[in-house]
Amino acid sequence: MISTDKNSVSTSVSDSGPDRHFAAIVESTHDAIVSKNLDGIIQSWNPAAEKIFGYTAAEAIGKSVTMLIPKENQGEEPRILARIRRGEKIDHYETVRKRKDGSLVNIWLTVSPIKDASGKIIGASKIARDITQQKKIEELQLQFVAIVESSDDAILSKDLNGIIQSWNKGAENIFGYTAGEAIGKSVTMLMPEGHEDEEPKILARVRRGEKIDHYETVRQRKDGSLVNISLTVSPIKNASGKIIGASKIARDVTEQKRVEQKMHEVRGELATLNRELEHRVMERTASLNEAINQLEEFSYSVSHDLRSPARAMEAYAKAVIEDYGPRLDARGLGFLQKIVRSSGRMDKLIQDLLTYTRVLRSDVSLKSVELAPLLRDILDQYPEMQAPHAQIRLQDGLGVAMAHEASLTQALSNLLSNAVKFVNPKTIPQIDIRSECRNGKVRLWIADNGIGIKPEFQSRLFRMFERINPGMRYEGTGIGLAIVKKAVERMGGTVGVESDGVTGTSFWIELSSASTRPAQTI
Amino acid sequence: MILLVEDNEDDVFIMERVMLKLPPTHTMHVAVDGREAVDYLQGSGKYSDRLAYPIPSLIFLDLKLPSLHGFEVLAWINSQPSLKSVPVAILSSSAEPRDRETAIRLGAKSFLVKPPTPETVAQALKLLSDVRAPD
Repeated sequence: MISTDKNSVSTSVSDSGPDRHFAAIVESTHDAIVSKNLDGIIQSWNPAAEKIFGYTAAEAIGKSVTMLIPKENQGEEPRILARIRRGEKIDHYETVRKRKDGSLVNIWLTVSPIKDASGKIIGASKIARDITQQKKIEELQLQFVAIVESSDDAILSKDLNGIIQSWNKGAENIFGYTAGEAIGKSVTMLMPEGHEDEEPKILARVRRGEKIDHYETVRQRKDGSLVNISLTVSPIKNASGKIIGASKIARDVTEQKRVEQKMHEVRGELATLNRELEHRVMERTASLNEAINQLEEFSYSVSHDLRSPARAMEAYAKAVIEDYGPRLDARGLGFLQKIVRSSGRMDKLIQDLLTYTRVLRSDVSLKSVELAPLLRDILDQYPEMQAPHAQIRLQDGLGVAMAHEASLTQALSNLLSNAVKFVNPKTIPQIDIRSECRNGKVRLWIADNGIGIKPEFQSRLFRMFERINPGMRYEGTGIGLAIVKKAVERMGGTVGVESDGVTGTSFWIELSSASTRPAQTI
Repeated sequence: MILLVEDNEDDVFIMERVMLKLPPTHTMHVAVDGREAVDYLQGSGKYSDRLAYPIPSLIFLDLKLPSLHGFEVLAWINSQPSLKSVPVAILSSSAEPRDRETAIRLGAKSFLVKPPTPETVAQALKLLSDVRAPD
């Protein structure tokens, strides 16, 4: 004989009487088996009783069973004893008992009267089964059921033939069938036309133990309407691991699909609008570029064609002075000199205007530029900036600025030309070039000993065609400082001037510093 | 011998005045457009007389020329093995950076902005000795 169930014990003891059999059963069962007399005093106590309640047989026998009853259940014992006296049996009574350590244990109680040979009731046998574990499982099951029932997703199970075994509230809401209508039917009733072949495929995969995750498909409701669902199917195994069916969780994704569709449409509209916008921007950029190109061509041809007559005028006037000067009186020579100066000035004006437009339209990409070598190169190009015509002092280590070399060269050349030009007659120009670093900027100062600029004129200084010193003594086009300002601004920098109008002028250019060296102190 | 390629007679006049102020070490021939410059340099027609019209030792080349643009003439000169060693100085009305870059790329040795002065022309003539030096 083979032992198959923990609650029923078979034994291979064969050569003993029935009493020995019973004794063996009582000793080996998992249920507590206890007997008591009609006063409730414990008479016998098996090993399972010790295991369940914690008392040994020696501790329990002779004590009242009330020691096992928690305070709030004390009323039970008199009622049980009363029923036993009447010869009644109490079957599978679920209650709570107290262990030796004070903890509580859920039990199933069966109490039967014990009669003596004459049939008189002399006590009771009690069989108590520990159902604490079972209670916990029941509670968990209830929780699972609650979870399944409260889910918005359809949760159902089916066997390997596709027959629905369970059906939650969510399934009813999504598919329209009640549990009563669905259970026992084949899930194929949910498959719309064209999707019938899905079920055999799903079942085949479930049989192989595979899980199907978020499979998007279409199902049909009871009313015939279609619903988009996302399906997850997992195999259900029995205790021995054999696949016996499948659980299906279906989520209604109709709304999600609708939103996705809408988003797709909106994205499409946006893309169209974007394309139109890009097209318009391209068109306008093209026409702007065309305008810029035309302007450049205009500048280019002006530079060639307009300069030519001015140049010729100056050259011929000079030739007259050189070749025929001795035959002319002072008045005639004076007129010719005015032609030379005016045509020269006209040529300079055209060149400055062209420089200004070039500064306006050129690409200004910044890179780090060492200031000292750049300034030395500029000074080398102009004889009037060299000894003995001028004294120029360059501070050591002027720093490195973020600049566009050509634009900075243009700006510094203009400032230095002004510095050597605007001095009192007979004065040797003295120019101090120094720099200071602060807040990540480098400020380059060009200080001269010239005629100065009165503070009231300083605000107009950088405007186009402004000349503070009219007349022939100091020649200028009034464009030089406008070029300086524009060139520096295009490099993201600033320009300024300080002068009391008497003791010279200090111009400064401030650009982002490209060096991390500490500030130079002056 | 210097070849001046220049269509504007005023600019020719200016160059002649400049040459008068320099030591008379060079004679100058004027080609009035790009076509004539090419004819001169390849010795076609009357220019085949290399005694009267020798290969120049320096070319001053204007950019805005009728028939052939200065850059076309420059590119052509640079493609002629026999002329490769002749230095070309561009004479332009403008200091356009793009023109300067194109000129250098096409092989010009110098870029002068008009009007030429005795100083700038003397500087360009120095190219001659610089170019000849390695020979």
